[in-house]
Amino acid sequence: MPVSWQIKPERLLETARSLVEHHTAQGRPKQSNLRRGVSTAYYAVFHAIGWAVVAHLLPNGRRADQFALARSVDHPAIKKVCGWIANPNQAPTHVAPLVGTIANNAAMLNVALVFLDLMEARHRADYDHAAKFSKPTAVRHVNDAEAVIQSLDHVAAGIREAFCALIALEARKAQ
Amino acid sequence: MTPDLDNELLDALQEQLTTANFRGTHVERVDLERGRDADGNPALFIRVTLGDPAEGEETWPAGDVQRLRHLVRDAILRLLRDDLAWYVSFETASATAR
Repeated sequence: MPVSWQIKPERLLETARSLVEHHTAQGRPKQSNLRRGVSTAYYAVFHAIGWAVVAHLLPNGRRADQFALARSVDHPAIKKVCGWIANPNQAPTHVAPLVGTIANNAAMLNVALVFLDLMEARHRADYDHAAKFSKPTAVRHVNDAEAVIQSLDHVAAGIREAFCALIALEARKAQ
Repeated sequence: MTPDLDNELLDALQEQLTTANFRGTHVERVDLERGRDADGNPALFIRVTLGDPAEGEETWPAGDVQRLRHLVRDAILRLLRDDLAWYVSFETASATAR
């Protein structure tokens, strides 16, 4: 598979931003663009986390193997781990110390809280006919997604590795 | 019992969020709603209604939103008694009025 086929989080983020900042000739954003922008922002974060897990587990693997591994990182596993970080008292005993370490890092706590927020927003954007998105909210979601992707790149390696390890363990359970 | 606990949490959130000092963000109101999340699990939704972004800005300052999010979590960890998933969202008054 050509490398250029990789789903790149930063490209998704560009798409999300162009959608939420697009205006009609009347100067108003279209709900359909705001919805697609929010959904795309979520997927930018989802794939950024997936690639962080791959970089942690298989940094020197064949590209095809890395792609397969990225595909096995699923939404529920990330949600579960982010939920533990948001609520460390809900984490199982055997992972509680690791979860506590991650939750004490402000940037990674924000990653977890934004992921949970974006996941719900993505669901509303894709399925809830009654949901209405404002431009400030849609732009905020894209900004949040961008901040999360930057945090994943810049957070201390040990903290990122702990986050990725927990996701990998949870993803394995779901197989 | 749950409504009392939710009222206590709501009071705490309104107190903390509306009195916190932000340069570019004003919290107009806070609402709590119990419902189901995207996976169909019971969840608590915290909806924070914000005043419009500052003139010329497309959204609220990222630092303000992050701080609000963390304030909500602090209150939840202190006051939410059940092991419930919770979600916080930020909206403009125009989008929440429906």
